[in-house]
Amino acid sequence: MHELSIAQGMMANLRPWLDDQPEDLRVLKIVVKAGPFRAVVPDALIFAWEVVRNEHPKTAGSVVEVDASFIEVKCRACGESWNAERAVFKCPKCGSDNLEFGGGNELFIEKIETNEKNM
Amino acid sequence: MCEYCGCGIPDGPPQHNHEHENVAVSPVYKDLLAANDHIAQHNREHLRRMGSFFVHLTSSPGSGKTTLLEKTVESLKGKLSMGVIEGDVATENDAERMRAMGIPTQSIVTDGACHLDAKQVHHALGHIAEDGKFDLLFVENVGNLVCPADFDLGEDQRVVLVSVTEGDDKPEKYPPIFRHADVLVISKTDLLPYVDFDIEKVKKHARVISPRIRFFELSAKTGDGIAEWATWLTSLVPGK
Repeated sequence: MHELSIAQGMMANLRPWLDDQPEDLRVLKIVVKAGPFRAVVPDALIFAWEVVRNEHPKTAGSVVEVDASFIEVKCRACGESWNAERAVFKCPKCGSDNLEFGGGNELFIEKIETNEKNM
Repeated sequence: MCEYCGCGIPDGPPQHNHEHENVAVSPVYKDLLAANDHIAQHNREHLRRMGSFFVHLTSSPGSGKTTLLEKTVESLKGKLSMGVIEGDVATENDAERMRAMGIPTQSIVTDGACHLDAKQVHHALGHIAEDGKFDLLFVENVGNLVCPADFDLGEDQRVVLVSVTEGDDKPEKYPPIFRHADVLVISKTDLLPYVDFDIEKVKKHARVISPRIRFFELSAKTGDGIAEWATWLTSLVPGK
């Protein structure tokens, strides 16, 4: 349940910005980009945010949506490259296990939807 | 004043800019564990200034982290000064084992939390620093192959243990913890005759996930492989 720590990290990142916004601003939705190497369970983060969101009046009632990113996999044997939802150990084209991973380590707020503006 | 300063470690904090704390920078695209990573970097810099090398051990429960630490201390005591931070969910059992070895030990009991974070480790560093300076400082995380993966504690090397009784598909099943690993220790190798565990398969998969990863195969029970492990640890300490 480290998603609670991640939800608290979301609030830590948001708080200075929230404090600087107009009093009547309300956050409606926060889209979080999460890569496969960050071990984030979307439902657990959504649930954790339901607890943490009440720490600031401008996020009370807001929801989290998780936008899963990919691992960029490249086969060193045949040159095939593709995006994978999770770590893989065999090239689907040539069967080689000589693979290289890129990306997949993302964990950040991608978009904030509010009653006034989106950013 | 930053709550993370005044920790009792000499020389004060490194380039610690407090002004940014109240600036309303955009929260978009900023890593959600930035606050943890900030403290982790603070830990790293403190220990670097003290001349300590910081090793983080993480694994499933029961793969032999504490036993490996006991053997490491046996092997290096008198040659290097060592300290240990022991993370545990509910007891000080592991910390007591390290204290029995005569090693300065600071315990972090998480009361249910599934991982250590950099702030807890920073607090422990403040206490253990009162026991002097260390060539090698170890932190043993809570036994868990999932949650600790995301949390930089400020370590110089992250060591993941997999015991041969756990099965040889751990890198496939738990990629995040291996993605951030510098070292894989395959432990309990004395039990290899009794289990189906393909060491080469584990190494191959771990290397795909973390190309930089280094391997040790050892048995804390028989002592096999401990000398190589201890030699490597010694080589990490500045001036040793």
